[in-house]
Amino acid sequence: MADLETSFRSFRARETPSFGGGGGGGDPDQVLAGITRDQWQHFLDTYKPVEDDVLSTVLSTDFSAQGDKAGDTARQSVTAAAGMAERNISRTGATLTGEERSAISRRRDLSLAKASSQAENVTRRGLSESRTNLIAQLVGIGRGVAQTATAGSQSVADLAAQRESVYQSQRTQAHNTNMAAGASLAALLFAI
Amino acid sequence: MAKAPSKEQPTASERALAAVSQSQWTDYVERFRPAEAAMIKKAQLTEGERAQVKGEVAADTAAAFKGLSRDTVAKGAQSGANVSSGKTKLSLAGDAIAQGEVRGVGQAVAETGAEIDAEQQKLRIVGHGRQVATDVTSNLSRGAQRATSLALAASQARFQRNLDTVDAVASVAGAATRKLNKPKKFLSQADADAVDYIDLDIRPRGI
Repeated sequence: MADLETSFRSFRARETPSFGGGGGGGDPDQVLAGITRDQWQHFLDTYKPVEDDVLSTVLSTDFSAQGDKAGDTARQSVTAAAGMAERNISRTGATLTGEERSAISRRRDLSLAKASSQAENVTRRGLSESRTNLIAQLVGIGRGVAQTATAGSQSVADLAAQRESVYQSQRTQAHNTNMAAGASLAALLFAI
Repeated sequence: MAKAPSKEQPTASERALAAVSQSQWTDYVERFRPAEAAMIKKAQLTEGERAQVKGEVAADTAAAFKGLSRDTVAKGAQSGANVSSGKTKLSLAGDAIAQGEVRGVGQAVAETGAEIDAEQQKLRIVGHGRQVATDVTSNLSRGAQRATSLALAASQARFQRNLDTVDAVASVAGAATRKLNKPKKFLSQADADAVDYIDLDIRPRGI
């Protein structure tokens, strides 16, 4: 990774890599490294902020702010409707008696309580169900991340084992060859 | 002397693969990345979109209640009742408040629904992003495997050259040893004759 970053420090996301492949362009390995670096940067710039946002909000189970907001929305609507009703009645030239005003106020208050509680409950319930579903999906994504990490680590371990195996094999071969050559030289010395 | 081979040139298939891959990458960067950016922008619920959602609910509610208010007034008029009577006024006010109640709950629910939709969309974006990260890991993994294979092949080639050098020295030493240790004649001709004589001598007579 460090080598890639060192080698392709100058790579820019907007530059379209040239594959070459013997056609007069760049080294295909370098192009692939450039694309890989660009993809990683793209992930960090474009997707990571969304991921951070989702992880910070979706895991929250406190819906009081959203519930309050929903209640406010419902209350504002009822209050506005009641005010509008009184104005419309006045517009006809009719006047409201104190008893009528009181009856309208009671009706309005009843609706305020009903609408706000309904809006808050529906919002909290809806968000709770949705978050449960989202968290389950996030867990699935997280498993994918873990699998990718494991696969990468396995690849690294496999490569290390491959290198160690070749090293051990070469060491043994070198030992045997040296012994054989030493024996030949010793025989020569004795013969002389 | 063996001649060192020259490097193999890319095949036609290799060149075609490089050209098509380059074309696809360019296409992705120029045409699909903007779509990704649009997708992410779309997942952000703006105040304008919230207002739009509420406006749609308000319009739907108004349309649903409009007939009801008219009916109240019309029925009142048809029945000869004074539309300015207290009963009618309260009925109109009640209708309006009920409309406000339905509209308010509807707006709150619709806004919550829009938030839920946005969160689900964001989660899909997270999934896309992680696919990009997985692609990066796969690329790095393949690159590491290729680099290690090349390094080991180079190491093996260097090592083989060393072995061959040592083998060559050992072979020369072996040849020289064989030369020096060439078997000597242990028997002189006279000795050989004597052996023959003895042999003859011990043969049974008459054979």
